[in-house]
Formats: sequence, structure tokens, C-alpha cells
Amino acid sequence: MTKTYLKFRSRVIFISGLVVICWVGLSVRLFQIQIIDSEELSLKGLAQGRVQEPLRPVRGNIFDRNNTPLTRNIIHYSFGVHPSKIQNKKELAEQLSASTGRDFKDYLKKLNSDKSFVYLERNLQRSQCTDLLINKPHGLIIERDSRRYYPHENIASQVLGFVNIDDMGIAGLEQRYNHLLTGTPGWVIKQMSGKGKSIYKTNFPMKPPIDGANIQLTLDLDYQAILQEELSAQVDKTDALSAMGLIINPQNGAILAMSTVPDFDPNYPGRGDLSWQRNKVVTDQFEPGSTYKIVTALGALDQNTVSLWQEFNCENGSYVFAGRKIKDWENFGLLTLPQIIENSSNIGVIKIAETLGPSRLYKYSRDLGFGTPTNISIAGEHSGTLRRVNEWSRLSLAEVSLGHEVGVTTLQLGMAYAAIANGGFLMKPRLVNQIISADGRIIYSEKPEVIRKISSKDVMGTLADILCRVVETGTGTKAAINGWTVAGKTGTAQKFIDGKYSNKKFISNFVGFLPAKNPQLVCVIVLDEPRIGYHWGGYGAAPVFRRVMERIINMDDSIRRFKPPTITKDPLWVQESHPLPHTLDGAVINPVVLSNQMQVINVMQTIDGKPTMPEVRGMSLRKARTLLKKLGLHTNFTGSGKVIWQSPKPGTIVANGSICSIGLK
Amino acid sequence: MSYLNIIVKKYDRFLLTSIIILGVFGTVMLFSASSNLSLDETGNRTDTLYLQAHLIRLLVGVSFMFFFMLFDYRKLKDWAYHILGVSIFLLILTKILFIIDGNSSPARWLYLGSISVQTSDLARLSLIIFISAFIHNKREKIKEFYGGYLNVIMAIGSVVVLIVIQPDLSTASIILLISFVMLFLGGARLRHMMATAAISISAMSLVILNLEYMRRRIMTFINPESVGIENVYQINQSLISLANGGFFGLGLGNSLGKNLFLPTPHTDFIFAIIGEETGLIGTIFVLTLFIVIFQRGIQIAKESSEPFGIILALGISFSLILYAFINAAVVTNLVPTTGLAMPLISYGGSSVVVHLASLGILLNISLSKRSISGNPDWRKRIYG
Repeated sequence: MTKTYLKFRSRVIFISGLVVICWVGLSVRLFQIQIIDSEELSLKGLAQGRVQEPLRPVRGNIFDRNNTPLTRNIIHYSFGVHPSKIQNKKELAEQLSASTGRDFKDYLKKLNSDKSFVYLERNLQRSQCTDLLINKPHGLIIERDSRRYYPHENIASQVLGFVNIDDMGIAGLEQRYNHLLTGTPGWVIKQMSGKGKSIYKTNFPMKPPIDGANIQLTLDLDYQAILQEELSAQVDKTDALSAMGLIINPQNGAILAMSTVPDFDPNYPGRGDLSWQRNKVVTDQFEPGSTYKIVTALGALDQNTVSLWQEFNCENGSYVFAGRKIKDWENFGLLTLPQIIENSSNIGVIKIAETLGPSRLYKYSRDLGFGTPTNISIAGEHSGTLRRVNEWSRLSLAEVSLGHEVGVTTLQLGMAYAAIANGGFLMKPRLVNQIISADGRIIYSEKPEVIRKISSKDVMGTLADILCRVVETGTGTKAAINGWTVAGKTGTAQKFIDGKYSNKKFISNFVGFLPAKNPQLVCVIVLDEPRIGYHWGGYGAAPVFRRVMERIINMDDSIRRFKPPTITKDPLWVQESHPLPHTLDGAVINPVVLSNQMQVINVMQTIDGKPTMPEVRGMSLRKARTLLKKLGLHTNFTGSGKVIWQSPKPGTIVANGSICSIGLK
Repeated sequence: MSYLNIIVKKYDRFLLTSIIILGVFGTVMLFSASSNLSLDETGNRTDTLYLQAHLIRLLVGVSFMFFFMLFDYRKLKDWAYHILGVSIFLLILTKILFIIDGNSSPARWLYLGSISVQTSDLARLSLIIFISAFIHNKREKIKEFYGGYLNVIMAIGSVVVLIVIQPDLSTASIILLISFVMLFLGGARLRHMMATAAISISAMSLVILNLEYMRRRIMTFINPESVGIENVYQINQSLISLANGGFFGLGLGNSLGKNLFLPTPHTDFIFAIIGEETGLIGTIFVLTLFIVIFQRGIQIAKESSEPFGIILALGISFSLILYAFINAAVVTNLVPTTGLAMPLISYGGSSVVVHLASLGILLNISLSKRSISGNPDWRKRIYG
């Protein structure tokens, strides 16, 4: 300190004191704002310019059993404007019109509305508005959105259903599994600047959308297309009102094709008749006629009320039962049970039914699944009609045994024949193989399920043999395929119209399966009101069966004429006729489609960085260890030879670096 | 003795370090605060529009600082009257040029080609030098009204009036305040000062009542509800930004307020952005840095042997901290909006250059300190 300074010292201290007090004051104030009132004030700040924008999930897709997509989501564009913010409305209208081809006056009208926001175009595909996307006119708001698209158009349309303009399923599987297909919307917080532009930032909170689950059906697109084509052709040929078709794998109850003609294009559900949208295979019942005779035959064989060699007098084609005259299509004399079925003699069947009695006929009807819903994963299933015995009239025994007075759905009929084909097991029909959530979990799957065992394998074998004779020499010869043993039964039912059975309107149907010794496919064909001549099951429906089956046999190598030795007795253990595809190195490819890009994703790829345990059973030790090592898993093994067991199970998601145990023998 | 002189003649390194820290920190914050504004104004071409300009000004300012650091401040004493004269001339010139141009906006800038100079900034430094020189020359006469106090008040008054008529009431007030504090330190009688203060305050009040924008600012401060939302908007945004920062801040570059919410985030309200991005830690740090510089200024005054150096050092230090604190007080809504910059941090050419130049003078004063009571450098004792 200098001598000179001393003069100023006291006043300097005073001023310094003031400065320090100010400093303290400011610090306290800052503490108050930044710490004490911080939350309240920053909430006020958050409210401004922070916008929560929804993130739409991608709708899950539906695939056939070979993972061919039956649905797609393609990008559509919507164009809107805030009319008040458009200066040159005419120019914009002309620009839009030049691109989309719509009259510019339409646009001008919308542009001149007083609403704050109007859509000028909604859901245009890229090709329809390329110009607008490249040279975006000022003020035009473009919304990008994905929309459902059905690439195969009419194929399986009734099964898939369709969506409304907001991509909500309103029919078919789209509706039934809408909650799983839609996924969960997410959101993102966007920060808008003081001028209302969004600011690109990555650290804002967001919740990613969870895409919808993908559904893998048991349907086979090729089968479906063949069935649909042949049905359509026959409808055209026979002037039928409609036709239904169904292909089932009898061993596991999988629905391979399910079709109703006429059909519709789910991309444009508004076009065509509303009734075309109905999946009549499950929603409509009809009186089956002779195809129902197997119920009587089954009952008689199972209860041993009739022997195979016992002959029945078919009364030369005319028989009075309960005061009503029953006629055959041809005059038959003495026939055994197999011959009765082979020739579809009504009188013979009634006589067999008489040995069985109403309650047993009812029991076997019930056992074969008639009159009860099959509980297939399709909404609006009809349970059919099968009255209780105490409601039967005296005539009912005869009528029911002939397939009248009962209503069945095409599906019920198919499942009943599948039970004959697989040796007596009534299966639950499966349509949805599995539903896979966006993160790869199986959230729903339908495993082969036996509802009941109806009869012994021998009885069913006998019945199948009889059905083979129907096709070989009986009424169903038009369903025969060279080199294949086909079992089947024709049905010709008069339609019950206005209180009596019509003589002109028939339902022509045929149910068959092949190969008879190792049935892999059951196919039902139903024609509604075909032209007279085609009204016979053997003439209207049976040829469709043959053509469909021939095409499938030619196309699909997995349908074998002879029984492969590995097929076991119990249908529960029978694998899908289409085994999962394998990669060359032996790792199983998960057939599940995880992404919406319709790619088959290898299990080798990990979910959330965690590997999925592959199938290593059957591999050599070296192969199994290499595969597991690739996935970052360690291996503990016992024994030698081939892997016979593994832990954890295939498909389990395991942590990185986990130790897996495998046993070899 | 010459050896001793070399040792003693060391500028205040502590002060220089503080200035550098403040400058660097300020530049970083300025970039952060102005980047969005720059993008917005240049149509997303660049985010360094303001940073580039600021760096050039810093360069000019630092050059001035080093120039004055090496320039013997005692010469300023002899030129003080001329310097003031030039400043007053420039103030008048500015006003006249604006009148000739028919420019109705406040006449604060003198345009020299592409460079614009805020003449009131020059006037402030000139006045500080002038007052210091006056007190040095008149010594005890400052206590007398005639020939002492009145004379200096006349000089101060003319400068202040010229700034008032620009109009720039905030700068005028702050210059008046700095002058008063310097006169007070220089030993002027409290009685004289109080009388002058009373007159000044009433005169200022009259002017305020006649100036629409000033009235609105005051009303905004006193009763925010009485004025429209647009008037409280800025200060609200400022408080929100500060509050967003909390204790640790959102991190550099993460301010939301600078996203065009807070008007002038890079000039008057940069302190709010500092608060948002670096939190309470950052705001207290900046204020403390100013206190440190102020303390160094007083230390330099203490060690100066002549009244000119002492008063000049005190004036410069006080001027700097007054600007800083008033700016902080505005940002925290403790005083009405003034439009005063945060020294060395805010974007604004003249302010940065003049503050750096004045710090250069302060550093030069520190070079010529002569201690009578202080402890001789310990290194001298060990090695000498």
C-alpha cells in the first residue's frame, strides 16, 4: 500500500463493501431462480415449444406358411394445406392438378375453404404424386403414412379381411387380430424453436413405437391360388351362385387353403357385392346330402351293427319310410354297406341307420363335430344345425342319415373327413400357425390339437377303403387321379327353399382325401346351385377336386404317394408336412418374419443383442460347438456321437456368453 | 535498484489470467448462444456468423489491451482533457450525422466505413481518464465547490447530457454513477454529491417519463401485469432459461432459450444462456471472476503511488464490475431492462474493445506499482 493510497482507503473500502454486498445479493438471487424456483420456471419453459408427436407403428403383416407375405404396408402420401397461408391458390391448384390429374377446380374449392386445415389428397401412392414430392410447392404439407396393401388381391381375401382408411382391421383376420397387428404407438418429444421450427436433437425423450405382430398362417398361398382359380373356373362353367373350397392337412388340422368364390379385392373392399366378403366356408351352413352318409356308415361299423358282408335290400329304388317315399338315383337290389356308400344308395343308408337308431346316429354326428363350432380363429363361425334327438320327427332318422335336416359348414365337413383320414382323431382346425411380436416373441400359436378320438384306426381304415371305392368305381370317379389312391364321397343335396326341397336347386359337393393310405390332403368342394347336370356331386364338385389335387401334387413334392416310414401313428406327433427350412451349416432358420420388410430372419441374428439358442440336436459335436461359438455361447458336453439333447431348448433367448449343455450319444 | 525495478515491474499476472479466462469462456458461450441465431439469419448457411465477428473484435480489443499495457498510462494524464474533448466531439458528431440522415433511431453508433463505434463507450473511458486526471491535478480543490467540484461536474454533465439526448438513458445513468463513485473516491464532499445526485435523479425522471420505451421498461419491472405480454416476454424467457440450467446446467450447446425464444441471447441476455448451459456454477463463476478482476484493480490502486493511477485503476475496475452486475441484475429481473452488455462476454464491438483497452491501462498501472509497505518479492530474498 502506498502512502498516497491511504487517503482514499476508507472510501475504497466502503465502495468495495457495496460491491461485495451486490455480489452476494446477485448470487442469492441466482440461487433462488436456478435452484429454488427452478422446477416451476422450467416447467413453464417446457410448455413452450415442446411438442409430443405420435410415432405410428408399422402394422404387422400376415404371411402364409412359407412366409410369403399376404399383406404389405406401402407408403402413401397425403397432401394438406392451411388455406389461409397460401398466397397464390390458383397456382398451387394447377400444380397439384398437373401432378395428380384431378381437375384443378376441385383443389381450388378446397383451397378457398375457411377451415384452418384441409386435405387436398389422401393416400396417394408415390407414382401418383412424384412431381409434388420432388418440387414441393410452398405451403403444401405432406404427410407420409403407410397403408395396407394386399399384393395378391383376391387370393384369400375373405380369410384376410381388410382395413378401413385408418388402417384398422374391420373384417377377417385383420379384424380379429387387429389388436395385435396394430402395435403400440410411440411418441417423440420435439422441441420447437421460438419461430416454430423443430430443432433436431437426439437427447429428447422418446418412446419408440412397437410395431405390430406378424401373423404366420397355415395357409399355403399356392394351394390357395389353385383352389380359388379352379373354383372360379367351375363357377363360370356351371353358373353356380357360389362355390366354397377347403384344403386341410388331416394329420395336424392345418387349413392349407380356404376359399369362397366369388371373392373380392381387399384393396378395394367397396367394389363388388357385400356377400362376397363373407368367408362362407365357416359362416354358411348347408345341407350336405350324401357326403353326410359317412356318419351312418361310421356308426354302423364302429358299433358293429352291420357287418361288411351283410346285404341290404335296396328295394329297387323306392322305399317308404315313416310314410314318406324315399327314392334312389338308380334302382339297386341287394347291396352291402361298402356298395351302398359306393353307389350312394339312400335306401341302403336308411336301412343301416335303422340298425343304428336315432340316438347313436346323433352321437356319431356329434362326435364328428357336426352341430358344434370348430373354434377356428375366424370370427362369425356358424355352428351348423344338428337337432337333439328328442326334437326329431319319425322321418328325421332317414333325413339325417341322408344329410338332410342337418346344416353343416364346409369346415365341419372337412374336419369330419380329416378325422377319417387320420385314423379317428377329430382335430381342431388351425389357421394361425403363430403370431410373432415385433421383438420376436411368439405371443400366440396354435398347436395341433385333438378334440376327441372318434373311433379306432381299423374302423377308419375300413371307411377309407370304402371311400376309395367310391372314387374308383362309384359315384366319384371324376375325382380319380391316375396313379393315386383317392378316397372321397360325393354329395348332392336338394336345397330347402320355402318349406320344401327344391327339384331344381342343388348343392353339389365332394369331399376327398389323398393318398388314401397316408392322407396328406383333405379337400372339400361345394358348389351352390350349379346348372342341372353339374348338380350331381360327382359331376359338379368332384372334377374340381381332381384338378385342384392334380395341380398341387404336380407342384408340391412334399405330397408323397407312399407313406414315408417316419410318420408315426399318433397325429399329434406328426410334424408339419413342410419342415422348417435349414441352412447349409445346419443352423435352423427361424421361419418367423421379424421385420416388416418381409425378410426371413436367421436365428443367428440376435434379438436385442442376445442370441437365440439354435437347434443343435442331430449335429456332430464339432458342428454344434462351432455354431454355438459363433453365437458367443460356451458349450458343456457329455458323451460322444451326435447331439441328442440340449439345454436350453431351441428358440430360447439366452444371455451372451451363457454356457449351454449338450449331450451326445 | 534497476534490478529491483525489473522484478517489481511485473504486470499483474493474476489479473491477466482472469481476463483471459473470462475472454475464452465468454467466447465459447457467445458461440453457443449465437449459433442458432446465426443459422436462422443466414438461412442455415453458417452458425459462426456472430462468432467470427466477435473473434475479430476480440483480436482488436486484445491488441488495444496490449498496446495500453505497454503504453505509459501517465501520459494519459496530460492528454486527458484532449481525450475528453475528442469524445464529446464524437458524441455530437454522431447525433448530427443521425439528424442529417434523418435516422430516427437512437444515435448511438458512429459509422466508419464498415466499422461502427458506440461513441458512448469511448466517452465513458475518456471520462474516467478525465476524472482521474482532474482529481490528480486539483488534489484538495475537489472538496471546494467552485473551481473544483463544479468544474468536473460540468464536464461530466455535458457528456451525460449528450448521451441522454441520443437517447441512451441506461448508459447515461451508468456513466453518471461511475463518475459519482470516482468523485466520491477522489474525496469530493458528500454534501455536494448529494445535491448533484438529487438534481440528476429528478432530471432523469423527467426524461424517463417523456420516453415511451423507458416508461414501459420501468412499468414492466414494477407491475408486469399492467403491460402487454410482449413486454414481459423477454424477461420471462430469461428467467426460464436460468431456471432450466439448475445447478449444473444443461451442458454446453444445450440451451433451449437460445433457440430463438430469448431475444438477443448473444448480447444483453447472454448471462441467461450461461445460466442455462452451465447452471448456477457457471453464473456464480462469472460473477466471481468479475469480483476477482475488481479486487485486482483495487490491489493495483493500493500499490500505485500517485492519485491519477489510484483513481484510474479504481474507476476502470468499478466501471467493469458495475456493467457486469447491472447486466446480471437485469437478467435476474432485479432491475428494469437496461440494454447494457455483459463486459467481455456479450456480443458488441465497442464494448469489448473499450473494456479490453481499459483493462490494458489497468495492467499498465500494475506495471508501475511501487510498494512501500508491501512485502518485497520473496524470490529476491532467496536468490538476491
